[in-house]
Amino acid sequence: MFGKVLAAKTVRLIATLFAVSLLTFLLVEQLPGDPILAILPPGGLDDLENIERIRKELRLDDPVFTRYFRWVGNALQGDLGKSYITDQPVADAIKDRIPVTMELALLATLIAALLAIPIGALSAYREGGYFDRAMSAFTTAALSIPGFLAGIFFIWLFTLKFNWLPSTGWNRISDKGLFANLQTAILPAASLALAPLAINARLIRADMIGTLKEDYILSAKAKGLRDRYILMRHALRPSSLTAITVFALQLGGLIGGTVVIETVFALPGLGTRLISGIYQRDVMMIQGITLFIATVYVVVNALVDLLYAILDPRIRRQ
Amino acid sequence: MTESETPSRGQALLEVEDLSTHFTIDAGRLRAVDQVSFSLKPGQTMGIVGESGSGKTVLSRTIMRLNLGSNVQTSGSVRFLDKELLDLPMDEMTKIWGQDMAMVFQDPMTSLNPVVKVGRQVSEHVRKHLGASKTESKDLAVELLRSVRIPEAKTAVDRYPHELSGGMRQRISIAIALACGPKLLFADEPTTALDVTVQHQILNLLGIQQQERSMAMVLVTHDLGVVAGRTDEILVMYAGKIVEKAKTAELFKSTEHPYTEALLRSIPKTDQPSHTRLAAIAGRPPTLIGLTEGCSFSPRCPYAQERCFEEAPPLEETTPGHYTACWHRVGTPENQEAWDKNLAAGRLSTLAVEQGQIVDEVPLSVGPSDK
Repeated sequence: MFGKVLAAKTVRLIATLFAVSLLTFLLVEQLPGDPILAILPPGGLDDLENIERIRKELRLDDPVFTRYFRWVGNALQGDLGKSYITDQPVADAIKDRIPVTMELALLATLIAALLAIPIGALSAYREGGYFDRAMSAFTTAALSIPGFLAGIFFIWLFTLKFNWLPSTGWNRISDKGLFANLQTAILPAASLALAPLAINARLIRADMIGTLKEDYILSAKAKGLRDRYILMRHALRPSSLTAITVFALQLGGLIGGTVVIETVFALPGLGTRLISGIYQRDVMMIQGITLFIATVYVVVNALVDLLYAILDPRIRRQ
Repeated sequence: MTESETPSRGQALLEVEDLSTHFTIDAGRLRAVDQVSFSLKPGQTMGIVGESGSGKTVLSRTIMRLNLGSNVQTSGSVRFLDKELLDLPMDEMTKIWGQDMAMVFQDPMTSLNPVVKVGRQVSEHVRKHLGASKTESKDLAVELLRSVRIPEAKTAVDRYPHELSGGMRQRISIAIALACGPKLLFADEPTTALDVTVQHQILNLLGIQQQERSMAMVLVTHDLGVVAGRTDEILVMYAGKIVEKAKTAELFKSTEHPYTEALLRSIPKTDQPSHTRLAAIAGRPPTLIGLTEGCSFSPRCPYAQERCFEEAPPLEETTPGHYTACWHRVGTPENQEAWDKNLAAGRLSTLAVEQGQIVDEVPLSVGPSDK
């Protein structure tokens, strides 16, 4: 039963990835201008013979779909092509940049989850109380301030005012150790975490208020269990389904969505690489990174469905 | 669980005095429980009977001090194991819940956590209260499931509630309630959500467990048939008040309150020919909001007279151990007189009883002889 569901989900996943790759390819294809023009040396525009030679060399004279299937075929083997400009393999560029983006996304999700769960649970537990109202004000503020603005505020506060943390740049764990790494990661991660934190605190609060009215919470109380135990053991899991979905979607989104924050903090992540690729009209880089981000997003989403089954045993049956 | 707290037989385990629970709602003050007094000895069973909305569930939850909301005022006294429960801080109540006092809820479909395995739900509070280890509590869970006659208890502990039938789930609820060996068990309509054959099994199970553990029980139900053979004493509640209280046999043998009589009349009997109309009680239960003058059953009562609408009858001991709140008790000459008078005047609810009709709306404002 479970295996059948899994098989159906896998088929759907493959179909989605196929559509994603086709759309990515066609969209980049539709960009105005000739990618070769970006490669030419200064003054090379007049050398038509040279242009044709490059076109043949890069096999850009093949029909669109031939090129698409060649690209996808190679991508399936882990080869996303080479940058026309720097000659760097796109896969290497991703490998080089992904640790920064991944760490930011995971750290942001972790911060958001660690704060959203207690904030949501406590707000629901004392619905309408001081804490609940204070948190409601906080989440409204967190949702209405864009992440890059919060990032700028953090830089002002923690770098200019207190001089505790660096404002830009990135320390790799392998070079400078975890502590130095976290010093550079914490501000951008916190800026990224703000919106997911607010959304999830609200989702958990709303679901938890519903759950706390359930009979099984009353019966847990009548067993003599302490409130904190009931909140964490009996109420949290049934109240977290919506939040888990949104968390996972946000994590998928964060991997592609750190572009602005990476720029604000000048971090060597996937987002800044994508931006420079766009500036340079580096077609292969844009295609490759976009496909990678989309794939991560789709796969994370598929994993969420499986997570449901773990959290709620009733779903395993259906 | 200290021995010194266990009261000796004959002394009351639970003593409820003048207990009132009022809710403040937009429409006014809702008197869900109004000046209720009773006591329960160790090992005894008390039945609390009444229609929906008569306050029986609120009464048992008030005694247990379970989740009544912030708009509630409770007054009176509840003494349990020589402690005044109404004054106890909440963390002291937490120690009593589950351990000394437990509750079986009405609907086993909603009273078990859908995402927690049955074995854990049965034993988690035992671990907390009695400090059992993880393996001990697993064994205990199996043991407890066996004691409530759940087949294949060893595999059942690893199941989730949705994998079990309603009857099995209610057995689990009972196992949860019994796990710490409470001295008093509240069973709040424990069989209402189950079908009739399963009802019987569950009630028998409760009875057996109660005897084995010599535990006191409060059985709350709307069905006099349920409490008939299973209780020592019965409280009949109407509109938040006790209207009749007697030993079970006495209550059935010489029913005194017209409401109790009406409840008895409304139990379908198997010796009646099929398609006999069910004898319903005329009218609807009152809303319990605001002050009511007179007896709250008077609008629906076939015997109601002028006095019943003006002055509420007190709960009086009529024969030793039998308490009734009525001006014209069933079986007295006054009662017969009232009946004849109402019948002659053509009072709707009297005619309804006479003719076995169902009258849904009885005008509340009209006096003893409806015009």
